[in-house]
This record gives sequence, structure tokens and C-alpha cells, in this order.
Amino acid sequence: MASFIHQTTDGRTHDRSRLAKGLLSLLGFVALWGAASLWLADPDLLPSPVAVARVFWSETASGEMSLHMLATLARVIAAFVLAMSIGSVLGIVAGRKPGVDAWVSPWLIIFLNLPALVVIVLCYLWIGLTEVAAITAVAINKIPMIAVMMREGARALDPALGDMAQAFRIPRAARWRHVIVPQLAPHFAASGRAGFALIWKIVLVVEFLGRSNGVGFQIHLYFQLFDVARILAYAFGFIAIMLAVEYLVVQPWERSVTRWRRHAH
Amino acid sequence: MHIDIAGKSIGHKPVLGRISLTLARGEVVALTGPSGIGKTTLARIIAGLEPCADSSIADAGRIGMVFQEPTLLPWRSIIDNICIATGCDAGAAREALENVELGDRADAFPTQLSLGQQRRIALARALAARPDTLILDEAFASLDEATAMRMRALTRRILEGAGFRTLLVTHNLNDAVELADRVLLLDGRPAEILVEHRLSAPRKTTGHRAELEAIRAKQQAASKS
Repeated sequence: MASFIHQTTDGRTHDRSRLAKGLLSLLGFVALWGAASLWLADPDLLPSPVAVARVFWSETASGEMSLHMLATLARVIAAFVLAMSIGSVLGIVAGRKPGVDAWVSPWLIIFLNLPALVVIVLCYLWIGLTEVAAITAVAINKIPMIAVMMREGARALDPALGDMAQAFRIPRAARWRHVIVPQLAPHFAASGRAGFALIWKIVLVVEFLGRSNGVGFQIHLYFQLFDVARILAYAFGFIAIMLAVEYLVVQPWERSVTRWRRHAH
Repeated sequence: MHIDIAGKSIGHKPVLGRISLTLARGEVVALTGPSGIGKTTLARIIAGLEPCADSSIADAGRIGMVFQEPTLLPWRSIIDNICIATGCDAGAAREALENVELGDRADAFPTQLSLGQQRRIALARALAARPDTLILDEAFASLDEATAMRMRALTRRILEGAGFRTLLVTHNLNDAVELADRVLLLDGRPAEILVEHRLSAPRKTTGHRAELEAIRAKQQAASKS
């Protein structure tokens, strides 16, 4: 017990030290940016962090920022749910059934190597400049990567635990919940994190090319107006949201599903 | 329970030859033989884990199995491990844990326990399934001698007067003689039952040497013929 408390205290100290280093690293980034801005001395080309923060607050106060952020976030969530659902099912089935994998694998290679821009343009051409086309394009871009990551997870399932479940005739639903899903959890977390990080970037391209709202649309607008401060304000605003999702949703979920690891000797 | 196997190959390699055996209710049968001879394959066929086209297994009933490794779910507590695998309630799981002298570790996680304790949990899980047939596959392997002795003593106490039939798979003839009513020696390529020996005084702490000598004599005679 004493050693467990000691480990927990050590863990908290380690977390605090990691957080402090992270914050210092972020401050270093802002300082470097400020120095580069001072050195260039051209606010149109590289505005200072303070100038971008001012623009961010003015866009937030006018309501423009939240309007476009929410539009982008809704697309990100819709594409993420669609890509995770289809990619996970495809990957798990391919990982557990070599026969299915033989059929699915070549398709995955084709779609993994298809440039995102080609998929987006084709979706807009074939489906039209609609929300469905935008979300489909993003999901198609992401599904192969999620499928490949989940396939590796399904291949790595412990056959001994499968035997145990079969020998004890554990019902199918309980087998998934207690035996299979916990083994896949790190792969869900990894593909979810990688998926989210890439999906929002692709959503911005989709909005850039064919939507009338969203962060990508705003960046397109301010690109034409050569307003670098606003481009950076929208980009960093959305990065802040993605960081919040990572720290408030993904990491707490990951901690809860890997809680048992911290009980080890 | 009656098992009849015409033969079993893995790939193109024949592993088991014709095997026919019967286990009576309450009987402890030890299946022994050299490592890699096919004992675990036979146990897996009986447990329904290994397909075998030319086989029939009658009246096995509910099977409880203790594997070579504890095969516990590391992300679930000990009591959850037992309840999830067997479908029993918490009361029955605690009773099974008391039976293996680990009643105080119900809320621990498997990784907090030693290998010997994990093995006892695996035994408790198999018992909580209220089996008609208990299969113990090398349940004492890779334990230090003191822990193995304790585990053997515990298993002897549990098997004594148990209402279920037990198949004890072990490469260790001493374990077989110490715990079983009947010893089957598997040998040959493909493996068949070479020797069958019924112990005169099962699960007694003395007289093992005479039983071992009798089995070895039968083995030599069978090998010559």
C-alpha cells in the first residue's frame, strides 16, 4: 500500500513537471514568433502574437468567430463519427478474418494513397457543393487510416483470452465488452487522436474549396484579402479547440480505460 | 463423459492417434507424458477449443478450465474476472475465492497478484463455473517449488470428494500420482495412451514411490511390445 501511495505521489509530481515543461515550451513558441515578427518588421506578413490576439478578441466579440468555429466543429464531429464507425468496423473485421482482409487490403492501399484533394474535388463534382459531399469527402480520406490502425489492433488480440472466453462460453455481448473492446481501447484512442488531428485539417480544405462558412471559408476569404492576422487568429482559435478536446475528452477517457495499468506492481 | 478420437493432425503432422477414454463423475484422471506429445491438444479438443473432425465427446456437461497461463482479464478486478467468465453472482465468486484462500483479494486487479495467486484465481474461476468437468492444464508449471507445493495441497483438498470429474494435464508424473485416481500416459508419434494405471490409494501423501515404479514398469513393458 505504501509503495502504491508513493507511486501515485510520484506520478502526480511527474504530471506537474510535464505540464510545467509543456507551458514553458508554448511560451517559448510565442516568444520565438514575437521575435520573428519584430525582426521582419512587417505586420502584414507576420503580425505579432499581441496583434493576432487583438484580432481574435474582436472576431469573438462580433460573434463571427463562434459562428464559423461551430460550423467547422460540426463538420469535424460528423466526419469523425462517420469515419471512426466505418473504419473501425472495417478494420476489426479485416483483422479477425484473413479472408475479408485479402479482399479489403488492396482497396485500403488505393484509398490510403489517393490524395485528399482529389477525393474532395471528385466528391464536389459528383455529389455537388453540398454538406453531404463535404462530410463524405473528409470521411473517405480518413476511413482507410482508421481501418489500418484498427486492423493492427484486431490482429494483436490475445488468443489466450479468446480461448478463455470460448471455454467459459462467455456470451457474445459480454465477450465484446469485457474481453475484446478493452484490448482495442489503445488502438481506438490512437486512431481517434490521429483521426481528429487530420480530419480538422481536411475539413478546412473542404471549406476552403466549396463551403460558405467555417474556419476554412474564413481563411479563404482573408487569403484573398491578404489579412495574415485574421488567418492566424482563426487557425490558432481552432487549434485551441482541438487542444481542449484532447485534454478534456480524449485524455480523461484514455485514463479511465487504462486505469487498471496504474494498479500494477 | 466418454471421449473417442480417431486422430488429430495439425497441418500435415499427425499429433494424436486413436484415443478412447471415459471419465466417471467424481473421478480425477491425470493425463501425463513428455512435453509436446499432444496432452494440451487433447485437453483443448475436450474443451471445444480445437476442432477435431473425427471425434465424439459425450456427456462432458459444463466445462471449467484452468489454462497453462492464468488468462485473467488485467483490466477487471478479481471478482469481476470470476463473475464475467462464469456468469455467477458476487456471493458465489467470493465463496470460490475463499475456497482458494484468496477471499481478501476480491477487489484487487490481477497485476497486483503474484503468479501463484493468479493461478489460484484461475482455479477459483473454474470452480465458480460449477463445472461437470474440470480441466487443469499444467496448473503447477512455472511456479517455484514452495508455491507449487501449496497449489498442489490446495488442489488435493478441492478435488477430494468433489462432485465433478477432473482431467489433470501434467508433464510431471509426481503431480499425477499425488492427485489422481487414475494415470494415463500418452506417448508415441502420433500419441496414443500407452499406459493406464489406477492408483491403489488416491491422494494420500505416502506410497507414491511404489505407484511411480509400477507406472514405469508398465511403460517399459508397453514400449517393448
